[in-house]
Amino acid sequence: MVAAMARLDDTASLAAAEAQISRDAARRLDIAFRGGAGIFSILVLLIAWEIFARSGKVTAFMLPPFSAVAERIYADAIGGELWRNLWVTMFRAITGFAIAAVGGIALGAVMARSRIVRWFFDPIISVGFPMPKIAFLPIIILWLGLYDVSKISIVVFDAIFPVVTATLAGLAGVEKELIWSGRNMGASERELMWQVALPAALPQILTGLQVALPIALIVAIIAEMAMGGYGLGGAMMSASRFADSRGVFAGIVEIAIVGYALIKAMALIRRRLLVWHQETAERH
Amino acid sequence: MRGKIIATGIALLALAVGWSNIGARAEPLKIRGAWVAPLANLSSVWLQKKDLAVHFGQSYVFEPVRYAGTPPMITAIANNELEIGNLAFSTLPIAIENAGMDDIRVISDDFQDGVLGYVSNDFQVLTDGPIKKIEDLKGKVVATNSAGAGVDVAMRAMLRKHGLEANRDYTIIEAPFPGMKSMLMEKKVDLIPAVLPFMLDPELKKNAHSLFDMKAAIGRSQFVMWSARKPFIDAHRAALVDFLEDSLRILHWYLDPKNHEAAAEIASQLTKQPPERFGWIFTKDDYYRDSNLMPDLDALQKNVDMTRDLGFARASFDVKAHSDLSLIQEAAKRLK
Amino acid sequence: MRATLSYLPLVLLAVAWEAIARLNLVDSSALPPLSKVGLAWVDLIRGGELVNNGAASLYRGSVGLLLAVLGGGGLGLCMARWRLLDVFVNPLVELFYPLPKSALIPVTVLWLGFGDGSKILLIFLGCMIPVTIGAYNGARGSDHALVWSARSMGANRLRMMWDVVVPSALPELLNGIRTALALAFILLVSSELIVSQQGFGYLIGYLGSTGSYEGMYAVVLTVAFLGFAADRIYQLFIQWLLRWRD
Repeated sequence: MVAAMARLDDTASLAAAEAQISRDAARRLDIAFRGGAGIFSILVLLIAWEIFARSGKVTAFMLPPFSAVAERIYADAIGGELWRNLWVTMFRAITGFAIAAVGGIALGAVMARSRIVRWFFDPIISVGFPMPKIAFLPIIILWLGLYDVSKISIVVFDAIFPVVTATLAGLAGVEKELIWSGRNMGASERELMWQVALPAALPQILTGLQVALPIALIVAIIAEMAMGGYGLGGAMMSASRFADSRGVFAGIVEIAIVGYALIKAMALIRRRLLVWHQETAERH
Repeated sequence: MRGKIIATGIALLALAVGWSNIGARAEPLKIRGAWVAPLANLSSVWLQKKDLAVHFGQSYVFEPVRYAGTPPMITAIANNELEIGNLAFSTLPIAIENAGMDDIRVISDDFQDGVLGYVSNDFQVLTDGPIKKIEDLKGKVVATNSAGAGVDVAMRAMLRKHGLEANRDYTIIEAPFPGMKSMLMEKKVDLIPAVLPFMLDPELKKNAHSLFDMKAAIGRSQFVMWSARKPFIDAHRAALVDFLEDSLRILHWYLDPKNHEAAAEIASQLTKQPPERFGWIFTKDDYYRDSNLMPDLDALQKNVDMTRDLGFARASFDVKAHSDLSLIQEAAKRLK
Repeated sequence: MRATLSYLPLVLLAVAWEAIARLNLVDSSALPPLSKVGLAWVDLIRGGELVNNGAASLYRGSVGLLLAVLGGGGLGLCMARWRLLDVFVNPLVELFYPLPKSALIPVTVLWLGFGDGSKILLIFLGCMIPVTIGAYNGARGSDHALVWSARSMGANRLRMMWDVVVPSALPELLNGIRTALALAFILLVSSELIVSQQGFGYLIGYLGSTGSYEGMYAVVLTVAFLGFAADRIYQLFIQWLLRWRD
């Protein structure tokens, strides 16, 4: 849009700008149609849920109506319980994710520069990446107990692998000419890493982070379910023990919303950070 | 989209289940019975004396299944994975009121707690640990076998009496009973429920002591009782009476003092510990069991009301209306 | 030789583990020596626990994953072909894609209990979405010229789907399945750890809670190895399947 406006000065490209505007309008219409269909689909799903739950074919224990679940979420929000659980889960997931992000990028960068570090970590990463690391949860409990430290640790342990591999792949893909020209201009190795290599690898690193974020959420919730206490996962488990199905389904809805919001936020950050990058330019 | 998937999944599974049932038409009725703690729950030592069960393999077969606690049994009963749950006084109202399984009926006793002269479940802390009184548990982690279980509700009730609320003042984590000792010894938690037979572990006895027991928390309780759904009872009444008759035979054998050594030997094999440790089983140092497997419904009514008052069950109900003791009575009559 | 050298760090880690445990640098219950873990593994195999529980887990995992591949792959391909389906189903896929799948654990148990059914449903639901997205993106990217030329040659819709769309969607579809494979292991082990009476996860939790830490380590390492091996085998399979591309 902005690009189209800027070009308006240039009378020669007025026609092109008009064509661009009408194309924009058509696209906006398409987006509006898709958006409408999306809301429609979600509404249909919720209504189907409500009708099916009330049809008597299933008990409220198996599937409480959506309205009852919504009521429950509202009550939890008013009572403050929702926010407390939400805060704890977010704290664990985001802290773990942040540590994994910083640690993963750092390890990837060091591996890319030092042959010995790379030799040591390469097999560990390639063997560790596809492993179901959640199986180590009881061992982490054994070592670190049942408090936040162990919950955050398992999140880090699980989320760090995609970050390291993405950083490595991103740095390996940085064009040699870019590095050479930087070196010719007298940049130090440290400057090269910070100002040339890492920014150039940013798209891939961000992809790694986008893989790591849902993993962090999944693992944080599993850890809460297995260890109990506060948090959305713990609250769901405890609701299920008390045969409180509304609580269980409220948990699903809450976790779905949180997951959706976080992942959309991450995509937004990506677009912001990569304004300069070709990938973003194509979308405008 | 999801509804369809679920429906398809359920249909597929129903098909699979139906398939496996076709072959089983002429077989004796399969009765799955739950247990949590070895020796404490009759189901856990039932098969060891199946030589006494005259109807076993004829009208029914019995298959004991271990659960981490009584709450998961509710889900299992709802999904037809379990016929006889040994529901606790707390999980009975949770099943009936919260899960809406109004057709659950208490059919017999398993054991009772807090009966004078018998053992009561214990709640223990490390002897040289920081917890000297209940109030010290503020900000600590306590272990439970399963939220909503009998010991769990009793523990919450006791802590509430001392101004402590779960999740606000202390954290509850779940661990199976066999793991409680190591949880406490490794200082992962500050309070554990100690039930039989685990409360008699020598290492635990050396390092831990009682903070309070269940009798102090909630008084006398009809702790666990066998429960089944009415349609199942109605459909298989004869086989169930046969089963209860055999169960009575087995219980009587265990309760008979002259079988004490043989019972200790069975306990030893089951728990892989020396038989000398089992002097207590089926004596006054064990939980109280009614020798006719008759539950104490008056005690149960009080326990159920308390579970509601504590907010764990949505409502209370008439325990007698949710019991069917005619089966166990008929079974007892046959033995006379 | 090069392979041995590149995996030397893992051997070093194993040696360090053994040494730390043998020298009692940490509590032996927290880190039993690797050799003892190995012995416990042999015991578990002999006793049948590992085999029985492993068979239960592998059955659940493979059935769930298979259903997810069939259902998700089919849905993704259809969405790419039929615009109306795309418009209405895509928002739901987008809605469920970010759902941390572990949240479904208590619900599937509520519906189907503690046995195989709930784990299969969980893995099916959890793994379907990545496969759907892989198939969808792959099929959308498939060469339109190819589709048109096939159509002009009189191929019917189903035939065309199989001969043209599926092969060109294959690389992305296979990638989606790889994500699903990893997810299946995570969901399987964690659901067994939390709510089950059988399987690898159950065995890990049970051994841990009874203080048999050597056995617990043995099962954890077994599961980790299987996850790794499954991924490697799958990658070899992809290479074989896509050999025509190079």
